[in-house]
Amino acid sequence: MIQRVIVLTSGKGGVGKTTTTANLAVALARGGHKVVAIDADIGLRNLDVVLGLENRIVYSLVDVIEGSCRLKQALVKDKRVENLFLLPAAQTRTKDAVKPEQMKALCDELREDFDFVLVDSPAGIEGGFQNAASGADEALVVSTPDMSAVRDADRIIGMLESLGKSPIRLIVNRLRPNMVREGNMLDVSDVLDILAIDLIGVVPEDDNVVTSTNKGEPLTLNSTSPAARAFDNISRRLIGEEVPLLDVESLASTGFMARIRRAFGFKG
Amino acid sequence: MSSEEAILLRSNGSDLRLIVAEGLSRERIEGELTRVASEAQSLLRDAGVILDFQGRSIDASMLRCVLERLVWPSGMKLLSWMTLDVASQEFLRRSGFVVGQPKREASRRKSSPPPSCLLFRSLRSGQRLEHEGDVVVVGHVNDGAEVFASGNISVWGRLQGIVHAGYEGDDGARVIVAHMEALQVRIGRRVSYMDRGAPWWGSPVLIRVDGESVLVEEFVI
Repeated sequence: MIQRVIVLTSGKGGVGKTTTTANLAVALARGGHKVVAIDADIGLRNLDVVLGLENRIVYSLVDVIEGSCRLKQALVKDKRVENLFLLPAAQTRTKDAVKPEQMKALCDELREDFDFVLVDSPAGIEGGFQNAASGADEALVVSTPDMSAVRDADRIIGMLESLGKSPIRLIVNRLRPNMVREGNMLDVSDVLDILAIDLIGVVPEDDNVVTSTNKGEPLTLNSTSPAARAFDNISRRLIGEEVPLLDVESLASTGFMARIRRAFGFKG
Repeated sequence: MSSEEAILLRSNGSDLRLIVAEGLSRERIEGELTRVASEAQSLLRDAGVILDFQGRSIDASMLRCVLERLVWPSGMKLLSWMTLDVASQEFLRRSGFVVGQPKREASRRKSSPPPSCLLFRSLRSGQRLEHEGDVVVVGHVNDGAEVFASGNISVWGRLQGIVHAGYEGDDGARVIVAHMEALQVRIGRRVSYMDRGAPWWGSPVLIRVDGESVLVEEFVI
């Protein structure tokens, strides 16, 4: 298999990038792939907590880049899942501690040993995002179905396109079908109509996500909740399997607006 | 993508426009620039050239790469850079380069109308197109995107971003939109605020200045 470096990003904060990164990393590793999740949110690290690995961190990404330790020393191995590793962010430094070319070199080094390198990007469009995206070939854009998140996602997609990342695919997170039915939340087809990129999955709002985050046990470890199944399906689509969308995901339209999108030259 | 499609050279009357396809990898761009500088040297020498990078961002290393591999070896006269990425536009301006369609000389302005800009793509949030002349966008202008034209603006898709027609002060400029969803439209020196509840919201419209007002009419051919 070709080694893949994928950045998970959104522009807006709080839409579920870190939760998505953790769950996809676990799902891919459980599927037999060797995976490393990089927390590129330097200064505000969270991925270690969501993965439940915070007490085992000795070195960070910044230590590796500054040469204070070797890459293998900084990688934290998950004991619950074979083949899953975390490269944590430094909590006591800022995003200026890393330069895009250093991040690219780090990703290229990790590419040698791993099937998937998942980079959890910080919110925003400044240096932190540029660092996270620099080493990636492809991108997963996470957005919730609300106008502010979608507008930020549109901005990020434009920037990813300008950086030559491909493919760029969309995860619609925290969809609430009841609200969509009542007309109080954007439907998946509305989001796709604006963003005009390929949809790789829709994750329903699920209270289990909050519990799992607090426990440090990503849902894809052992849960069969709707969000767990959605994340698991996304991981399978990532490796090229044809997996039908869940019921909640059938809200995605491939009809008239999708054809209009393509007519205007958007990929997808 | 074939090498013929990677970099296109188009004549624009007296000037040349060199278009770098947006999806190219950095390595591919480097190779293609060297190839074009070598194979088209007789065409490029002393010719006025506009470098069009479409939506791609241009940073310091890309700038150096283009100068070293294309501009200096070919002997071209670099007229301006074009990119839709706003951060790159500002970087190039700070570096002393002309960005966007180069301004035409006064004598040429009187003798011929400015060329139109036909954009076959959608503009995403954060992208901006500035053009001296008319602009036709065959795509959407998303919320957060901007189009500035000294002439008229036509958007064949959905307009949610900002358009400013006649931005040099021409109140006679017009805006035509296939699917109107913008909350603000600017024409000449006027700014008009739109209402989501208006009967023409989401419909094809023609927008123009009428006396002291900005008038929005449903557009039917």
